[in-house]
Amino acid sequence: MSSGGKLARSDSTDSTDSVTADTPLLTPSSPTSAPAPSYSTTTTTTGTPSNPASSSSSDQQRRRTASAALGSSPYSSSSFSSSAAAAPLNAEMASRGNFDTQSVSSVSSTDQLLLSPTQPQRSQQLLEDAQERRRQQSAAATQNSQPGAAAAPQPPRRAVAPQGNANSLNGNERTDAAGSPNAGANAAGDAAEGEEEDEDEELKYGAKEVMALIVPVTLCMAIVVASIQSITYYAQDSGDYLAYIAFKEDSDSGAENFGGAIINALIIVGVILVMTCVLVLLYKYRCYKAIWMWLFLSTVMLLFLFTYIYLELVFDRYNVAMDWVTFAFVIWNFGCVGVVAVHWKAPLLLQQAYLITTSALLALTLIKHLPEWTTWVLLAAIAVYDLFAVLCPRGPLKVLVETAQERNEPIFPALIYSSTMAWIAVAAVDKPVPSEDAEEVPQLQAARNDPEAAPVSTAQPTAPAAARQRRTGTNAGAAADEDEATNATAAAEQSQDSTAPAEDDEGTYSSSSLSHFHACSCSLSCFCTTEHGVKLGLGDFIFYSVLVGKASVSNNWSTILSCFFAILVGLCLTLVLLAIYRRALPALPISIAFGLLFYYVSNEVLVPFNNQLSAVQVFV
Amino acid sequence: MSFMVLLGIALIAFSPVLVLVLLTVAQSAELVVLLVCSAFFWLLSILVTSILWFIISPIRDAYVWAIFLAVALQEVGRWATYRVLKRAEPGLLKVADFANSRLVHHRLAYVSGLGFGIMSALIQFNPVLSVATGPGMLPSPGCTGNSYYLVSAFTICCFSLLHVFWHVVFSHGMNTNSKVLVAIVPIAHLAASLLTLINESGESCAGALVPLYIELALFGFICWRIISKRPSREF
Repeated sequence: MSSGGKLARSDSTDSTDSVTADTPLLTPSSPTSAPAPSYSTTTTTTGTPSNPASSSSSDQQRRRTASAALGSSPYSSSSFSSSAAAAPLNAEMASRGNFDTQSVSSVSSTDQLLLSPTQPQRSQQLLEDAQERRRQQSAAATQNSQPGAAAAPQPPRRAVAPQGNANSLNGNERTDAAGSPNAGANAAGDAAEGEEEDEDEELKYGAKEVMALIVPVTLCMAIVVASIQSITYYAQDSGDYLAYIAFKEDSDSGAENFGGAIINALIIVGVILVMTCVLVLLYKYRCYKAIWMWLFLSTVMLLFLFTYIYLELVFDRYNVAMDWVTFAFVIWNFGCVGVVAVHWKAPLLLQQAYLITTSALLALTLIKHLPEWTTWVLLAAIAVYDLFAVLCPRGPLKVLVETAQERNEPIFPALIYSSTMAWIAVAAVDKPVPSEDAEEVPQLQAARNDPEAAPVSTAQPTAPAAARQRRTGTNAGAAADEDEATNATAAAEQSQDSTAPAEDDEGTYSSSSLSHFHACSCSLSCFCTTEHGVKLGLGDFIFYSVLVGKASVSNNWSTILSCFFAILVGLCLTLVLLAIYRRALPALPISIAFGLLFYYVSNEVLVPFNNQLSAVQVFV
Repeated sequence: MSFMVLLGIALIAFSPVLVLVLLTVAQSAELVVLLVCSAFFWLLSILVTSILWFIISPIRDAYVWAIFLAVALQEVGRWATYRVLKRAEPGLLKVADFANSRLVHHRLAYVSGLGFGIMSALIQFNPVLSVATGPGMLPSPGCTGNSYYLVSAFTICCFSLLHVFWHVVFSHGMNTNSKVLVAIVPIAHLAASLLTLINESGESCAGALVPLYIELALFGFICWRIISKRPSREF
């Protein structure tokens, strides 16, 4: 097992060192940067809170277009009239909207800094293009929604309240209908709401994406906790530590152990730092083959060796007798499928499952082969390191990100968890957006879509049209059926498009699209956002799971739950920050800080408190 | 046997909130996030309570004071949850697909109350769980004829549902500036917690459980009245 431990270490170094590449966040030519141009467009043309007049006029134009799309469908008018009663609410919302405008404009002003100087004029022109297209779309939407009205006596859900966006439209109309005495304020409110819609789209996106991350993080933690609870091997401290552990923590003195733990943690973080630098250098000098080999070997080891160890323990625990042939067959198949899924192609669900499994296995190994104190100190040190590596101007992850941006290419597709399928489809569109957009979220998508699509298409003229795929990814849950229909037609239109994958709900994709159009990848621990959502490095999964797993060694469910909720809320907070700053962010610091704090408080005071009250059946 | 007992009491304690979550919250990502956040607020308040309980050592054995402290901090947490929700509400209302329901405020309050209820149930069930996994039966201190697990499970279930009702009543009171509705919640919470002291005194179990369920029914009625009322102009 000691060899296993060493292997484990080298492997964990691999996977934790393989670093962030979040290619497109800042480059205008890539799709991920799309929010930036689109936001600055809205700011430069629709204005800031300081000049509500210009903003209101442009916004009203937007709204008119959209309400033309909506008003022509029978239900939208009825929903306008029925909702006119709720005017006071809308006045309040409008005033709140004002508040939000400021935050939006501050966001967009930071984004503007990242753009090239020529961008504003360009985006102005783009906006005009966008409006032109929007008009076409409204017409298309009208045609689209009319048959639905004739067919269904009960209006379909999306037609009445399409994604909440038409709701906010209704909100605008309602405010008008209420005849607010202060027309200027009203217009300003409208403008504010127009701005706010952009942010709301982000928010909606945020909630969905938080869910798309909460579920796998929960699963990973659940695997780790269940393994630790059932298999005692991982919880017991057998003394065979990783090779980097200089101090064995066998002293009686707590201070000495703590000092040793700090040194251990520093050594490990130093190793990670060095490995990251090696990786950055390899990347900088374009040694792609070496990097690929490195990642491939680590994946192979994780999937074969660790699975073998884990399964052996499980069989041991549950007293399952299995012959070597079957065992080898199972391991071989599991490992090969895993390697293919992680490095080449597989259905999204399978790939996600493998990524979660590998993270859980690695977390279990870390828990087993790190001494008690070192684990806690290491968690804190990793969080601090993460902060440094992602945010510091000369931080290795930051350098890597910037290099990747310069080259406008993705790296390391293997070791990130991506929440949606659509990340493969981050190329451009150089034709008008499919009509489903107009039908679904009349103006907003268009506003976001066109300015962002055009620069991308200038950058990659041969890239496949992908706006529809993006849509599929974003709204997969909400509008699956209609989207599928539209998708089919769109796919037919673009049948010459070799890289456009035949997407079904699970999403299968071609490897070429994976390697060429992968938008954003983080592997140690960072969040980055793309048009299609948030990606979380597998390093985050691993260290979250280490924290919860270590908490579960204490065998108290209050502690486990505290850590779990602390990490989830830290994740949510980081996502909020991500929405504000719009750049790759370290995902570990907030969550780990919360987790450590809650672990200690919970272990030291909550559990005794709770036990004492429960013993006499007093509930609070 | 012991596993059966564990399963049974876990289902008694959690099935109402579990069903509510699965049927009303799980479909919407926004609501799940809201649930997690409000659960976190409850956790925060109980952690602060336990820290204070730990620091102020004279009250460690005086359950009345621990109850006062816990209830006060939980109500502060409820207020904080309400404030945070108020800040996030415009955004939530716009993106959520249930936004045009006239019950939307109540719905958001209900979900955050559910977060409170779930978290309180989970945390308070843990000591029971750790006892129940062992062999044997433990009689309730109040009524030695009944098992400790069963009485605890029923109390926990009641508290988790009460948190839902309390939160709806509280946020309605805050929205409509109704001092009565706002004040009734901490008082009722305090009363419910103090009622459980009857268990500790060793007199009877029904003495705590029956009034608790009466209070639950009462607050259910209040919530029903609030929700079935026509929407007022205030909010």
